[in-house]
Amino acid sequence: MRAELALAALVPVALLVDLAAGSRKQAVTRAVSLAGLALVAWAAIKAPNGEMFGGSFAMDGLARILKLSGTLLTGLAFAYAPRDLKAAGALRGEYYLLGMFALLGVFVTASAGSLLTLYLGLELLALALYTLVALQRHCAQAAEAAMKYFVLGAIGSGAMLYGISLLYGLSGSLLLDEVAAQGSAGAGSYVAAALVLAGVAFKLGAAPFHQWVPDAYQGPPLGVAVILATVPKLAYFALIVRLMVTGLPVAQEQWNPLLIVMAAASLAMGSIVAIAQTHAARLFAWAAIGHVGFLLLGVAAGSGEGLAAALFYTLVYTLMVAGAFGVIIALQRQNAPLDSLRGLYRRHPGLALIMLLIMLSMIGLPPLAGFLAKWQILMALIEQGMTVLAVVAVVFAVVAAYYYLRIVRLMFMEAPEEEGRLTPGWTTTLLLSANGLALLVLGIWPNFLLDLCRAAFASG
Amino acid sequence: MIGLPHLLTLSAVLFAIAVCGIFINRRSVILLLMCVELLLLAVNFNFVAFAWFLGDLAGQVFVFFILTVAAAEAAIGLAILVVLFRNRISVNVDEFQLLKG
Repeated sequence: MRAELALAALVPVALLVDLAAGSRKQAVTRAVSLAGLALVAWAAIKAPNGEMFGGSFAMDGLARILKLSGTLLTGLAFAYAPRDLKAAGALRGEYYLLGMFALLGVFVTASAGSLLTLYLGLELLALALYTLVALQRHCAQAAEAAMKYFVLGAIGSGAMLYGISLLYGLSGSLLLDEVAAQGSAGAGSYVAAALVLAGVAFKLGAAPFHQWVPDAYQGPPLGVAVILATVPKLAYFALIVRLMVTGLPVAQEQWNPLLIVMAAASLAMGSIVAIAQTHAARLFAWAAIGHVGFLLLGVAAGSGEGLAAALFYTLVYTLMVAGAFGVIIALQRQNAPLDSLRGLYRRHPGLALIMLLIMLSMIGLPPLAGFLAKWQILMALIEQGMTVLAVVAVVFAVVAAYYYLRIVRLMFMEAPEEEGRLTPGWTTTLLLSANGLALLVLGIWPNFLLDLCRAAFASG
Repeated sequence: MIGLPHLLTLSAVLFAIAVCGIFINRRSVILLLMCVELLLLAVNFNFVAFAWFLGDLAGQVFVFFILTVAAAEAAIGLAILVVLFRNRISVNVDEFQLLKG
């Protein structure tokens, strides 16, 4: 609870600081926000395990990992984004405030022990995100993206909420443990599970509910897209674990086939459609759909090992995406088309090498962290006798390698569109290097993080 | 005598109307927002019905939270709609095609 209180206190403080500093001194708001986030991270580490509010709110290993990772990613986004937002004319103090509200939503969802806290956390996250997407007020594209995201997000929430109401009716309780204990594998729980799963898929952007993802990534400035692509994924992972795995274990045989179909469809859509994209954010959006498919496979494996692998995958994936968006923001091109990556090696070799690391990690080549993340999930699948699924996943991972390698080719083998070295600034360079190297370090010495992931699911 | 099945059927019908409204509607975004509200009201109906027949207050408390969230959601939806209208001078769903592919 301490971390949530710290974060909830931080937002009004940052608001007042922003008000006092005036619209021209965003750097002050940013500094206060980043310092505050460091405090929040410390509070999240120190907060003791346990339950509050009669079990509605629980701090455990999973919640702690997700909170720390969410704070780190929000901090990274705050560090990368201002340059892009300034160019887009959308750099206002609200960006930091809404980013921190979204993070608070992730915190509440990650710790949710009842259907009510789960729903409130998700809505806090979603409402902040809708507003963030619409932050660039004068841009028709951003407004359109916000509207599409809002309507489809609301349908997703509605479907999930309908499922939640059925779960309440079936079990007579809002507490997830009670829901699990009272649950039975009948027709009612099947409908509830299907509705909840549809809502989860809407939120995660898994096929066939993925239509909003590319628009929502492309419409807003890249500085907003970097938050959209990373932080919420953690909350949605918590959602699927809390609601499906903890809350509906009895009906697992009923919802697992649906989950497997969704995962396979997401893998296929993400890998194939991304090939035709010419816009960087849009490409990463389709790629995200594919990655979501991969992590859903880890959940579908149904074992603690599979869930730990899916958690590891989520953490590594969000780190990769944050880095990729960081590099694209450093290119300083509005509405970045893929061609803006052309000849990056000649314009700034360092950035090109970082992007190379990230792309190879996304493909899943050893010794990078992306390889290990995929490997863990495949092993979990094979252990459960789902060899066919593992083969399907590998096939689509190979297809996906095509467009990542195309980016590598654009960067290293083509002539740049415009001459002149890029000057990303030393803090950005430092952070991006750390971000890229973290993937290498996590790939070579993964045991610390892997053990944390396994411990999060050891008891449950 | 009105039983639980009647109430659940009503809320299922409301839910279906809302979902159909969202996907069939090709005209105004305002209609979309109204359908989103209807979606949440259908869920509220479910909660109240279950809470009554289970004799449990938690479901009714949940409804208050949903109403609050729905109000916030409507506010944000209308704000986005205003931004959209200023940029496009239209609230026609068919015209939102800047982002494609």
